[in-house]
Amino acid sequence: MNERDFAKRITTSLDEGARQLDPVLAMRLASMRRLAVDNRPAHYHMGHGVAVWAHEHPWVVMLLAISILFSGWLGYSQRQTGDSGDVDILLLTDDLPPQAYAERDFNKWLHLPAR
Amino acid sequence: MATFARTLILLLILAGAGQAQAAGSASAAGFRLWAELTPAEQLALAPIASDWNHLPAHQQERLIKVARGYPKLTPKQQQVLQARLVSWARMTPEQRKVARENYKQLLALPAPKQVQVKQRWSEARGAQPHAGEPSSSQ
Repeated sequence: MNERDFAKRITTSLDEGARQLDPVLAMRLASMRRLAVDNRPAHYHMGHGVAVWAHEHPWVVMLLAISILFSGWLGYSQRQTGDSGDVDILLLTDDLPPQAYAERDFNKWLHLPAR
Repeated sequence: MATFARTLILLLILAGAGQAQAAGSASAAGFRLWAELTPAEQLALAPIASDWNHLPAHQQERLIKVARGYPKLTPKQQQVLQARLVSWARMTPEQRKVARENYKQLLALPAPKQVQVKQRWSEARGAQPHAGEPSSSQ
């Protein structure tokens, strides 16, 4: 039995139970339900619809997530490339030659205590 | 609602694909022959003219950015830059990457500390600052 069939059995059972309710009590329940539905937030139904749609189409959501992540990575990569032009010209005109900064242990000089 | 959501998602996927294609196209179009450079770019990059056509596109792009900043340098800075271009271009990509990362770390320090770092390195190597400059005898 899938979820839809199970839900249908539950609603059928609840409807049957509702038909057996005292008429006065049923009217009071119906008016309270109307009040609750009228007062729900306007965006509730739209958000609930998107969530259901996304649950039924997981591959679309996955494609969207991959696309967003890929775009973000591309943007990051391009920014890195853009930065290197300015850094290169500073490196090539610095007091020290570029070979100094290319030393793997250069950063030890960055962390020495002040004299 | 479902139609709107589907349209929005499709547009976002196409935007991502478009950006990917643009990035790919930029890389492929980055390679330029020496003869295709502007006179100003050729002037700035003159020391590596013989190596230029053998450099990969991404390296050429970075050097062209350097060339575009060249006119803004002082004559002394231009001289220093050109003296270092050949050795810079012949370093491995990994060496250049390490150099950039170390340099960015240096730039993050306060100015007095940057000066101190350079002085200490120079003292340790027995080198003078501007070690890449052409000697006065040239």
